[in-house]
Amino acid sequence: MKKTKQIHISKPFDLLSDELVFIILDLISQNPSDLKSFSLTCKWFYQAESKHRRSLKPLRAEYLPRILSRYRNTSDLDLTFCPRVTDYALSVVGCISGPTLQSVDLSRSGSFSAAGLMRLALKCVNLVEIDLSNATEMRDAAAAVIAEARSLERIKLGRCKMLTDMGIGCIAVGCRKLTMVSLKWCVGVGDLGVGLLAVKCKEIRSLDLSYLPITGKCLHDVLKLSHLEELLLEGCFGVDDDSLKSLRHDCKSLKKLDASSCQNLTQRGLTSLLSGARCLQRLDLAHCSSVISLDFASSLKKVSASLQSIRLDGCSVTSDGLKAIGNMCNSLKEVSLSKCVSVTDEGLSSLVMKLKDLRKLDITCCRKLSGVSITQIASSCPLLVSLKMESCSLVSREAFWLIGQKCRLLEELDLTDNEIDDEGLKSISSCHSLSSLKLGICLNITDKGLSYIGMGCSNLSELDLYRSVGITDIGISSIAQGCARLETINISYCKDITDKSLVSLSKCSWLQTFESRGCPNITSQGLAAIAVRCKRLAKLDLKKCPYINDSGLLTLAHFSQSLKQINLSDTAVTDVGLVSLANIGCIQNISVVNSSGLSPSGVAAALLGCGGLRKAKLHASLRSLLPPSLIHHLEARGCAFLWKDNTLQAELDPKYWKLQLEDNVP
Amino acid sequence: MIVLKSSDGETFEIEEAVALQSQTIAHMVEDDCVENGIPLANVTGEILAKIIEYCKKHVEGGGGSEEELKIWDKEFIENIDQSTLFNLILAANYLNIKTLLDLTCQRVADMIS
Repeated sequence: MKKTKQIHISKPFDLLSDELVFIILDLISQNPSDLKSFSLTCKWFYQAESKHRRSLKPLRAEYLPRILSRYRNTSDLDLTFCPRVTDYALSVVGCISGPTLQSVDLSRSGSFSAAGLMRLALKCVNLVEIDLSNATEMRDAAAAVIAEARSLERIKLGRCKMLTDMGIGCIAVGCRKLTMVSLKWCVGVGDLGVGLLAVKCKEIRSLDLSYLPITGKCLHDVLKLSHLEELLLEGCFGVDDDSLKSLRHDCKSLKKLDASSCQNLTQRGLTSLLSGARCLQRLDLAHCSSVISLDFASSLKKVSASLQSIRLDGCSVTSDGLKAIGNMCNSLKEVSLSKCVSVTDEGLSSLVMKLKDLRKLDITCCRKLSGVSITQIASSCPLLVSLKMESCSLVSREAFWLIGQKCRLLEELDLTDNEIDDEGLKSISSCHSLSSLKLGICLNITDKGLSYIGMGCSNLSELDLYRSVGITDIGISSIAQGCARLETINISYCKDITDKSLVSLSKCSWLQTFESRGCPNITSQGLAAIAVRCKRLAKLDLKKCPYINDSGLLTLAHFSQSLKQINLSDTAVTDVGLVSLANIGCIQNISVVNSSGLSPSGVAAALLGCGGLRKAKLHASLRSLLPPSLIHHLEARGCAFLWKDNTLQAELDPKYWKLQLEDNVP
Repeated sequence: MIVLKSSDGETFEIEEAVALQSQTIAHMVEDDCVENGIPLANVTGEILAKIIEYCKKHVEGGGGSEEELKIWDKEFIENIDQSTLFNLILAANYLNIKTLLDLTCQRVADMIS
């Protein structure tokens, strides 16, 4: 009989090779604070974590030299938290992380010029992706510099208004491997630049030409690209029927076409565009100037077999048109008719009857629809995953019972401003995969209905109860009990909510967004409960909660280290509370208008203390009370100011004025 | 039947289907070097026994439903001490048994969290 030796290991981690430790670290990465505490345990762990991490999102550009020296394997650098990135910072990035860097995001940063970009492009030989959107001052010289990054595959230049055809031409000639190019809003670029791109960069798969002053001429070259999958032409007013007249193409790879808001594009032009796109899957024709009638639908003939998603938001559609689309395009999975106010029961029913595979339907603001349509949808489309029907107020309560019964696979449901009642919610609670539920301005629901949801929908992550005044603490606690994965909740203007709700919501440890405007019964105690247990809290709206004061904010400042956005207008917060927010490193957006406890020096201290602040919404009177040099300094640091003057106009809450209007009409 | 020999001389005879869950052993079987049994110099008898227990449960087709397997995995991984856990990680890596490697690493990750 052998005696089994007890293997006693004093330092188990010594046995593991680096790769095995990396596998373990990958699994911990879900939770950044865990990763942080891992790296602080001992030197060996610290080094392991330094070798493991590949993507960085620094809070301050000043720390870049130290951070990059520690993390030598950085391949993704996201600088969207750093409003000021100077040429020096870019040269540091190039020098330290040059060989390993693959992707850089500079879309929210300023203060760099062509010189800094040159260092980056030359040293980062493996740079594959760069986001330079919003560089409104960038000129062609900088574009020529970017062209030095020869391995570039994905480039975003949205809103770079100063770029012209010359700059784009340089990029086209230098970066031959480009697969994804976004030139949205680059209003200086025309047919010539786009044509050059199409001719030189043959690997392009995705091209965003939204809002460019191009005409159909460049599209002749663009559609010759043999790998083109996605073409976005939103708002291209120059693309009209005449320039597309002689277009003959055979772009079999095209999967997505966005021709929304092209005011001069009619059925003729569209037919030319779609002529060779036999494999088109997604078509976006929102805000089209033509009427979607039977005639118009016939232009979709070529793509009818392959089409899976169509978007006709804001278009005027006729029943004949909808019927024709339903008949032709049987494989449609997604249909969007948001704000198509002319849609009738007849048209919609004839459409959905034919679409057995329908997964997503958007009929927001289709006010003429009644229970008939909903019944038809429920009966014909059992595979429905998303249904958005905000403001379909003619739909009766009974129709909602059918939705829950038949469409069991629903994940997203928007029932804002509808007549649904507790029975309807009971039926919906049988949709166990439901993750997003919007019940704003649903005046007929009470705690009973919410308790059904709490019991049935355990996967719920988003709940909107804006102005659903029938809700009290009981309803909220049943949701908190049943929906452990809740991430977003809006209980604005639910006047009966008290601190009890907040205490029960603190159980939801994944909570990220909490909006409770206009709740007069919640106090700092409730806020503290949430701050302590919901570590991921990122967005907080406490406007018009008069009992929120400094003690709640002090707790928040200590515990909520992930807080990015906070609204404290019309609360009882004073200088002390506001300044304590400076303890939160990543706070980016503070809104505090009309709080009488604030003084100019307190606000100044708070603004200075929050190093990463990007937006500050303050009362207009402070503009003259704060020293102008302070405002200049903060703006140079990257903070934008919004000055609100409430005495002049009552703040327009878009959904509320509609309610008031309905009250006034007899 | 395949014979496995641990580093401390213990031999284990197991069915081919059970052994083939290890990619390393599967390659050896393909290359036809299994006549005299497979020597595993990096794995001790105790650990090998545990691995065989796991593989027997996870053989294709047997073992029960997904839910039952998950519960069994949970019990399996919670009843072993730290040193055995780390040795299992090394052995699962050497023998290239992906599911066991994932299970053990997840356990360590959860312990750290």
